[in-house]
Amino acid sequence: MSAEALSATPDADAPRRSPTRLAFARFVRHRGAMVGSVLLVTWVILAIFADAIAPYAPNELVSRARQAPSADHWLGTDQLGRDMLSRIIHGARISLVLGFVSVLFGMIPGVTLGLIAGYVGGWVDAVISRIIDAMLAFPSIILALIIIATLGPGILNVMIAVGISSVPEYARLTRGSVLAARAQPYVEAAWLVGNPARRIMAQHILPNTSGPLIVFATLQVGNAVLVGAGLSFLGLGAQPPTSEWGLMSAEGRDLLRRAWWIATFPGIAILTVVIGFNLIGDGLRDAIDPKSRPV
Amino acid sequence: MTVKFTYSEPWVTFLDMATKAPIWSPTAASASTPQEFDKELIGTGPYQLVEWVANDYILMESWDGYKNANAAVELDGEAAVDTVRIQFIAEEAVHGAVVSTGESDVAYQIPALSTDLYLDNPDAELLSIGQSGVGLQMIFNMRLPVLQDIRVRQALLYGRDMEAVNDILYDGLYGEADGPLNNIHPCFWEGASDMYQYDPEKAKALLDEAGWVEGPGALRVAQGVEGVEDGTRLELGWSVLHHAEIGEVVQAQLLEIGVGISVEQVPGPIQLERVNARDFEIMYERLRSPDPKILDDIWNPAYDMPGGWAWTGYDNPELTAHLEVIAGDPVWENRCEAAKLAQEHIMENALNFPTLSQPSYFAVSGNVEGFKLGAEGTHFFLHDVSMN
Amino acid sequence: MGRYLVGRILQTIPVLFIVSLVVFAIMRILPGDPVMLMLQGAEGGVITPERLEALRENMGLNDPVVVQYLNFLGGAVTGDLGESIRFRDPVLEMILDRLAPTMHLAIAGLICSLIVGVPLGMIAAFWRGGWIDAFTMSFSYLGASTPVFFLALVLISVFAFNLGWFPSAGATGWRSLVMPALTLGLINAGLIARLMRSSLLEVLGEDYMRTGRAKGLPPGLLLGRHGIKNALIPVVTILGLQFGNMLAGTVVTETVFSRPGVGRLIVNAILAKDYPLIQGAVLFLSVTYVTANLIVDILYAWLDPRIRYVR
Repeated sequence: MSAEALSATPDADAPRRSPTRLAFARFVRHRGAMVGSVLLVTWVILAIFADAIAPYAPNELVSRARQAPSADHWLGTDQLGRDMLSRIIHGARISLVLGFVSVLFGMIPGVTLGLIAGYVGGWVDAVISRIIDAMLAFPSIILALIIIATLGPGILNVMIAVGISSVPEYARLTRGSVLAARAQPYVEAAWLVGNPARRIMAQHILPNTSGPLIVFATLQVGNAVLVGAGLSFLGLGAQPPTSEWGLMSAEGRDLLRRAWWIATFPGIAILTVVIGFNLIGDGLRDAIDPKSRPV
Repeated sequence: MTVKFTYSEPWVTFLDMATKAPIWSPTAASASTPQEFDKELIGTGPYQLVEWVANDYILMESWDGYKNANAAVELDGEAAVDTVRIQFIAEEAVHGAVVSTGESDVAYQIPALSTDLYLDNPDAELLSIGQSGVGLQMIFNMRLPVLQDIRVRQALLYGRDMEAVNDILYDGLYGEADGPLNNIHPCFWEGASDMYQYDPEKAKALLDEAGWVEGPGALRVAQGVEGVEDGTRLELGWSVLHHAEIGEVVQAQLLEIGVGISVEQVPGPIQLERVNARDFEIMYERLRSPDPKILDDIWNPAYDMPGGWAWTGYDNPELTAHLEVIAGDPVWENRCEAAKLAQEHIMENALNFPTLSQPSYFAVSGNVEGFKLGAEGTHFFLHDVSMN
Repeated sequence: MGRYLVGRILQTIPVLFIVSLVVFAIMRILPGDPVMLMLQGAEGGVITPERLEALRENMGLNDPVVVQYLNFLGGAVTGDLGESIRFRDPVLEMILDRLAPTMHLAIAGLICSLIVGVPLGMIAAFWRGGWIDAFTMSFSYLGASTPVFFLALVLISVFAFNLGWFPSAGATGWRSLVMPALTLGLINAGLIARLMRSSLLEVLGEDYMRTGRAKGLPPGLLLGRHGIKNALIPVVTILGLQFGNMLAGTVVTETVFSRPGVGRLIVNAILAKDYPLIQGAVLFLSVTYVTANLIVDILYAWLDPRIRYVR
């Protein structure tokens, strides 16, 4: 997807809109993306204003345990007697932070590696590519599991583990974009003219790779929330009394029969957040490159 | 056949051991390695081992050559049921429901909160029995300055409400353990029940006295506490193998008096690693036996070594004297009496943090007749069982 | 084809090498003393420094790191992955004992995702723009966004507790496979459906199809051999990836459904800090995954001859 192609409109008299504005316009028209945005904005607001919005403190034993959803407790109480609604609202904070930080932990090293591999080429590229291939040889969650095994349980470690396990994909994506951009004549021209590598990367290559990267990163936030919840569910992530959604689900699974709400509502919360990111990600993909039909 | 055991000095827990340790055939044992022996067991009673799939199930078949020699069992000779399949189920909710859905005939040690399925159930029966022992006890690491002040330990005990814990988590179905031995233990010291009744105000006063004052946050901070830097927050680790939920409720209760505990659940080998490294504050330790020897195992500093059970670091000649009677005197009454004195000492010095006692619940389907529990919670007899 | 085969197989060797390096390196970084854990976990009794040292020597932990790695590699190739700290059984044996339930689950899940995904994708392509199309898209979003443990618990709740149709634990008999396979299959079917739909749309839009339609042939007949085969190619390419997703999904699914598989083994090994077991199981799963991808690539090359000649 080339920024140049869009801006080089054949008709010089036609009104020129920047590619970003065009993309934004397409995004806003995309129904799925709008639904996703509404979902996410809701959760972000809940996360930021959790203290004000939640009816009770998330870790306080406010009432009898295992109460079904009622007027006092819209989503019921959990196995210790804590209000589920408040815990879920506070859990949004944890899950969203987990998602974003994990992506940062993966994107920064990943994109850097990809840039280096793609731009420098040669044996550096070969070595990095082999390492990427090897990391991709581990089925997705397994790599995160190994890292957790090394670092020990805990929510920060989950962020690191999920982040690092996504590095190869960022690297591969970036490398591919860089290679494609490098092949463009204007890049070679810039290099011939004598522009320093950093300038070429910043001005020509990075803008072209940013599109697919943003799409991918958005989808990855959702994925990070999923994997993080899964790891917490297994006991390798957040520890009690944290109101992390995966952990809450795990705590509720023993009471599935008698108090189904304890395990179910956190699961639904995760689902809506991840759907939100997926919808937005797909919307971004369509907005940035309308030619690529959803796959 | 008579087997004779000869010891150089009296072994007071011989009978208790005899209920737990099987006698294996030396021919069979020398013919294989320990790992293989597990898979080809000889001497398993009326049922012989057919198949063992690790983490999945054990299949046993009745042996027609069996001649009964067990006084507890009525049926003589071969068992009435042909095959027994012991299925391992990791999910608690599934485990508890497995007899009510008809998937299984007997469920062993189901969670307390699943027992409601069987109370008014015409097709199944609920059996329950306690297990004598120390209960789900937590012990303190007495080597740490923060726990060396008796007032701090007492405050922790006054700050907990075990009845509330029992109600919240288990609908009141768990047993009481008010002291270093649980309440159903034959040598339980009654006096333990009156000590340390839930009194958060008293707990707070004790903490104030001990130099732990209210801090800027929710937790108390040290001020003039020996061995502790001023301003340190009162935070303790609570490490368990299971029943982490008890810790979580206690966590909320102790927060009221300004004490923070962080609950962690660790597997067995990790627990031992932490104990050996003295890397713990409040640690779970449970031994189960109707014999008071378990007190000696836990509280006698002679066993403070890797592989031993004395983890607290507490060493007091008065207590050790009582323990020696428990371990050495062949007369049961003397041992029981010494056990009560030992419990009194432990309680007065607030050396442990008792919580609750876990009963054993068995769900038995209506098709099964003759299922019998042993005297202690984990044993049961299948020999007399027949199906209809 | 032969040249491609050899080339492809040779490519996997450096990958496997680095995988083994990563697995080995991770274990060296782990905190805690494996020898201490070994003696505590299984034996009991007094642990003297002499016993510790003897076992350390025995396990080769005093050798330089390079030697240890070579021993590990040599062992891995000959089938000796060490001994589990907790169970004192050979790691490879423990893995092989638990391999069947995991493979059954992964394959059944894969088949389920294909059975659900392929027809759904085809119908969505044929009736493009209709409600089936919208339904397929929603279904695929839902699947990709649902946590595995959540779907597993919901299925148990409905089918085992309430309806009692299928067992909720264990790995015996085909009935115990239904819910776990459904869990993994439904979650991953969406991806297959979307892929099928878009590739089918592409195929239907191609010239030879239009020509055929212009000639008056019904789309069903046109689709025939070439159509379906070409439309399936993208699905085949991600079969390897899907298999990896299945393997990853077994970790949680086996835990919830009490299946004695390798996934659950890894989780428990991590919780118990059973390093040799973690190492061996991860290595094993990764090699399986790499092999699966290899097979898929070869299958793909057989289906689409063009790929064999592309470097």
